[in-house]
Amino acid sequence: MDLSQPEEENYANPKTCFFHVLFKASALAFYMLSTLFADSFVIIFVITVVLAALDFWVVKNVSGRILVGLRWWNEINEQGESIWRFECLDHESLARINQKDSWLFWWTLYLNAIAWTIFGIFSLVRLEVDYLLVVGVCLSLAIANIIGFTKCRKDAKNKIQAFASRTIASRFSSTLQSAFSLV
Amino acid sequence: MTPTELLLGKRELPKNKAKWLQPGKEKETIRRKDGDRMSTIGGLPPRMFTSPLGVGKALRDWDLWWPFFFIVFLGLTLSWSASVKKSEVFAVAFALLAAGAVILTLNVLLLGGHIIFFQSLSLLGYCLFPLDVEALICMMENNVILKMIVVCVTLAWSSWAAYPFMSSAVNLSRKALALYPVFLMVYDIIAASDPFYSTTVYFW
Repeated sequence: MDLSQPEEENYANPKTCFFHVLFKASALAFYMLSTLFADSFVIIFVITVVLAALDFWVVKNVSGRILVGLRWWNEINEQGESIWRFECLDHESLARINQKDSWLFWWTLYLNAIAWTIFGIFSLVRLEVDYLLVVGVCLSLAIANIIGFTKCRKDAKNKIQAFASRTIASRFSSTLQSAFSLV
Repeated sequence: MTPTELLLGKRELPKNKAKWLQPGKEKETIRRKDGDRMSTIGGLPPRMFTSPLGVGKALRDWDLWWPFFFIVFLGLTLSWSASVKKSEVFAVAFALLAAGAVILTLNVLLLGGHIIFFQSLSLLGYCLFPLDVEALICMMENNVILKMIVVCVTLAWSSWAAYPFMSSAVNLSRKALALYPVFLMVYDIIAASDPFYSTTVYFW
């Protein structure tokens, strides 16, 4: 009889998780501590935006596929129409996805966007238009990934419905649904 | 596997290859070559140096990495060559170029043209490459006549690159409406990047 405690599930892809978090954290940290490193706005802008762009690439092409088994892209077919593709892994492979990986993926994605929004509010309040530009670029990259991956999720519609009916009035939830189907 | 099986050369069955499905569907979508366009950061794409009339796959595979780099590089060169307010110059250049590309695209869409938003952004971004070259040369050179020649060549090259794509998207009657703003934006950026040029025009 096996009396030992079940082992705590570890991260299945630690390196991917690390890179997933690395560029987000560096962009945010550099932006926050920028006055310590450089006094030129241009340097701050370029480095922050480059880090945010690297993070976008890593999340979209690497950690999305490995950590949560989702991928999305755009292609233009022969007729010149733009097609957005959102795909997820099949059932068996999805079942094998590590829960900790998935939790880390989604939470860091949302926290990143929230952090940039807070920075944006600060810049807006201080009327620093230059820094608002930096925040704007980083925020759009973050939101693009969130929207892309949310559309990949099979259960996205169900989860949004459950969230909306739980916390918001039903009228608002139906508007949200129709907005998602339009995008 | 038993040792006998090993000796007989039997191998383990390969793991089931994961299938990619669209949410809500059970059938596998057509397999796409891995490594989508967003990950091509490597060599310069062919479309910058081939004739834009050679439309086809090169134009369909849009990406925004090189346009992003061109905009940042142009902002950096303009900022470097500016004598005062360097950070303001950079911010304005970046915002102007990004907003300009978006507005030019919207212009074509509002004129009833048939283009795809991101493809157009990508193409206009690539058309900024001649401006990068011009800004770099004007930053390093002091010879007035050389600068004038470079400016004219750049203007022609940028317009030549953007023309086929933009003009093919709209009706014949609205071509000028679609093309003039592109030309204007290119001209304005050149005028802004070369102080001497803008001064001569001003005095003229």
